[in-house]
Amino acid sequence: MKHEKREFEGINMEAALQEAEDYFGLPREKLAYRIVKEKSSLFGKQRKIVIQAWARDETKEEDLKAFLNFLKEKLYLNGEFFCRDSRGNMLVVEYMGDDYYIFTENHGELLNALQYLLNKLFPSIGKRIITDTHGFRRQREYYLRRLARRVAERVRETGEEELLFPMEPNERRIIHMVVNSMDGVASQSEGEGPIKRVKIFKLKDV
Amino acid sequence: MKELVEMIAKALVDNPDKVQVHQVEGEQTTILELKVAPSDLGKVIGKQGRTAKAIRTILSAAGMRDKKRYVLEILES
Repeated sequence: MKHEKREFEGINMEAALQEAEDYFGLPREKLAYRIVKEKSSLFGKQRKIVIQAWARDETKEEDLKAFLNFLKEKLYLNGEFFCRDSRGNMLVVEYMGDDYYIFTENHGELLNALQYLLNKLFPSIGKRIITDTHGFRRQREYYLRRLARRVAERVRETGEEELLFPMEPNERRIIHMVVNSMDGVASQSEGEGPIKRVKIFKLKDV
Repeated sequence: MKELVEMIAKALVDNPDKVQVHQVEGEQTTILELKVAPSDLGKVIGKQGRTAKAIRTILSAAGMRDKKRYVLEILES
């Protein structure tokens, strides 16, 4: 009963969560959920959202904290890991310490490896885990947006396609979004495996 | 570092009792031999080797700290 997962629906997220709160008799901070279906009919008049919700297992978050402490010891880190809930059912694990560069080297290689592993190790938390350190994710996004714009403008001018360095899927998404919003250029991912490279090229004049 | 690999591997597999880690100390490199049940190999390696790569990334970060080189070898038990 305690770990039961159940579907709830409502006309919006608020209504669906309310249903879940009533059913479990728990406030929403104690619930985890994921969106199953989101439907809006023609003209967006009738909307329906289906979520799957369950009581959050707090012992799992304790396990996560214990693991992070163990890692801290093994990597001889000076700082601390802080966990906080974030919008969209995410759990942000942020490292704060003067030796944070260990996480950001090679385009955040360790930060990404840790994020991937934590999501594999603690799926039962029921939230997507995001790793961060001193606001690195936001800075990185800002950098990637500027990079995409700069390279795309150059490609548009010279007509020569350019291949960016290998990136994580979420990083490639940022590049595609920026390039897609620009006229006359397009982007495409190339290569095998999860770490592909993005190619930016000029569209032929029609 | 043996304990770290053991902890990660045990959390990933279906048969944690079959997880064994041997630490072989070399002059410059330390080899960590991770043995798991044949059916759990995929779990510790991951799609396109992504899980194994993530573990190796963490080991190399630890290695930079204590001036060692850690090599992870994955075997069937």
